[in-house]
Amino acid sequence: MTHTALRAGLVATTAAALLLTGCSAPGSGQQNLTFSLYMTADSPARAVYEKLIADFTHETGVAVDMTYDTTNYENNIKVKMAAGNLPDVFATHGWSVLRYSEFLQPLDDQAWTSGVNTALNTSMRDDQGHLYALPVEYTVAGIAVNQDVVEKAGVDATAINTWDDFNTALTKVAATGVTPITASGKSSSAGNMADFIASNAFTDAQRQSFLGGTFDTAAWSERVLSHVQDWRTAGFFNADYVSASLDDMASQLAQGQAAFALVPASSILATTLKLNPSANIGFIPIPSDQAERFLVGGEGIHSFGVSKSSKNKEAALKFVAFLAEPDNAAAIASALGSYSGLTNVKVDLGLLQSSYDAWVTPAQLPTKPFFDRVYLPNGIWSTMIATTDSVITGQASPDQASEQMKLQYDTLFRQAR
Amino acid sequence: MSATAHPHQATPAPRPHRPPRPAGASINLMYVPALVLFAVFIIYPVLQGVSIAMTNWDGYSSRRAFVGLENFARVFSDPNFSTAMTNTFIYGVGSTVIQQVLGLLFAVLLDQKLRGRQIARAIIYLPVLVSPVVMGLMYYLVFRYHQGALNDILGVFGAAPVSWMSDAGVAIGVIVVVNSLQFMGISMLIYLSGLQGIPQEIREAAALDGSIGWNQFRSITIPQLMPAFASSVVLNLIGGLKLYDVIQVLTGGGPGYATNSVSTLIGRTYFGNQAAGYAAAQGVVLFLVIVVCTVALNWWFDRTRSHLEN
Repeated sequence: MTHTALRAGLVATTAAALLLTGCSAPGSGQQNLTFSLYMTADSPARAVYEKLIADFTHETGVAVDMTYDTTNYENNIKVKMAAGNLPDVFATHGWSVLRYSEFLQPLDDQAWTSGVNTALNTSMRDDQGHLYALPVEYTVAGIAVNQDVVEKAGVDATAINTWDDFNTALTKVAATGVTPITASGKSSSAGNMADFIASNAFTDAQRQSFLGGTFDTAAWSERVLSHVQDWRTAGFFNADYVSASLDDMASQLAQGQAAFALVPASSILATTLKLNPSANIGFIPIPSDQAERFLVGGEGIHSFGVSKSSKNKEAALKFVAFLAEPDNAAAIASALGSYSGLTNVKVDLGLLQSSYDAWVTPAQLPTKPFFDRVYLPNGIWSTMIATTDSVITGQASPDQASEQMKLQYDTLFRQAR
Repeated sequence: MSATAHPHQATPAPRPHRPPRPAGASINLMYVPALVLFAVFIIYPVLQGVSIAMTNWDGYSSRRAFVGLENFARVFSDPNFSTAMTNTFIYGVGSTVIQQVLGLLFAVLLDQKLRGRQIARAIIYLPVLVSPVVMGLMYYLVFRYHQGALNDILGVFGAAPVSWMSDAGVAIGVIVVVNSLQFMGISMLIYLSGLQGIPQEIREAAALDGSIGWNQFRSITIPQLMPAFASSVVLNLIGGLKLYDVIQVLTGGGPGYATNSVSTLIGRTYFGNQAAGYAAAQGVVLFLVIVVCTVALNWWFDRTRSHLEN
């Protein structure tokens, strides 16, 4: 090949590259929003988001690039925060105030904020009352249960008031040959378990101690991890705990191989329905040592904030307002099987409707915030998962695991100050 | 065709005047690009890591304060770090030993004139080309409790399924074996090229002197393979000490913290615990451990080689 031919080839390639670049969306004058979510690829909400994005683009001419992830979502967002390169709109998954508020645009002046459920004030507004995310989802959770399995074991799940009642129920279920509690070492379910128990386990003085910088090792061991240890000793956990994923948990509940799961039912609903559309799954309130039943709740995974440094802030705010429109927010929350954080949104909760009707709608039970989000320093979640996991697998005693928690608590508390 | 084939041709024209070769300081400019790349991608990140290790940065916010050597002090009192460091040595040394033994075995075997040896070499080397994440996933599907291949095989014989990864010792063993099987092909290639570099005359001379079989392998092959040993051991050890992907996929560092390597612990500390300063301190300590191990091993191999040559 001659030099002339080579040069001609090079020029043609460059021209083609320039032409293709010119044809691409960013250069064509259309505005592009980046939108990141904490969501699995097979979530029923995915199709809803795709339709809403198409509608939004049709209405406004603004294109939205949606990306979603689960395992690496938090890490990716942390890297983007450090690099000053956050998506225009992103899921704050329960951390809009504690972790992301420094990077988020306050949304108080948005019209839809008047509809935000005031029950979310504790978890979603900062000391000055600023709101940083749209709560499309309001997580209200109890212990997920396969009602057919517990009925077959002769257990009235609605009458479980104390942890002793719960242990009796577990024993009865075990006697039928079914796994009493399903949990997953491959997900954060161990952290959920500790969070569920801890949310109503302590006295006011103990809670203030956690809040004030003193980790009460004995209380954490005795009032939280000792329950987990008892269940482990009695053999109540699924045998495949270590290698089980969240989908395995859903599968075991859906197919009647397990009775209870200490995770929000909405987190396993999609897989459960896929495996067994007629599964009789619901949730019951969380018992406590004092027989005071409660639910846990707060900002849901599908809550969306706008990056303070977004170059498309106006369009991003418009997109969030679009998602907040009652029909749109209802479509998302229905697909998720979750309550909405907006009071003007009516959601079809499907399989979980009867549980919400029984426990949430009457508003008679207290809804406690997720313990770690209020009383423990930001960053302790990973340690909560690992230390509870240590107890479930017998790698550590409750006291040893509590010592590990204290070590991390002290570091994070110092760091936060 | 060479010029000597035409002695009758006219005297060649005088060579054109060549520009003088760069000398002295100017020749040093030739390695500046490499030096710049090294500085930007190696030196700067290392210095930056040391600098972050002396702060309480959470990894994403604009807040950070200088804490001196506090993070380094914590490294040496943290039980999770001790566990991770112990595991790191098990992964590093365990994988290195298995890879050397199997790699050398296959190299010696496939150095013979066997039919299909090229195919066998390719098959043994193939896992090196697979991503460690994929390799980890494959073995996760083998060792998982439900629908795991191993438990299904046990089921055929009527045995009860086993939760393989619940036992930290078993899980660590599985990780070592998976890593070794994946990278043994590299050792095999290194030893194979070492074996092929041994002059045939030396072997023949040794055979004439009566040194054959194991005796010849011990007194001729092994000393001649010392450079290959050094390369293979150091490469495998560094790889083993930095092991991350397979652990992450197979166990995620669990149960609890029991199978963490320092690398997976760093990931957990940085992202999970949002303690970038402490994670950086762990990284600096791991870096120093790897440097010390590498230097010590190289020194030992040099000394052994010169001892054997003498």
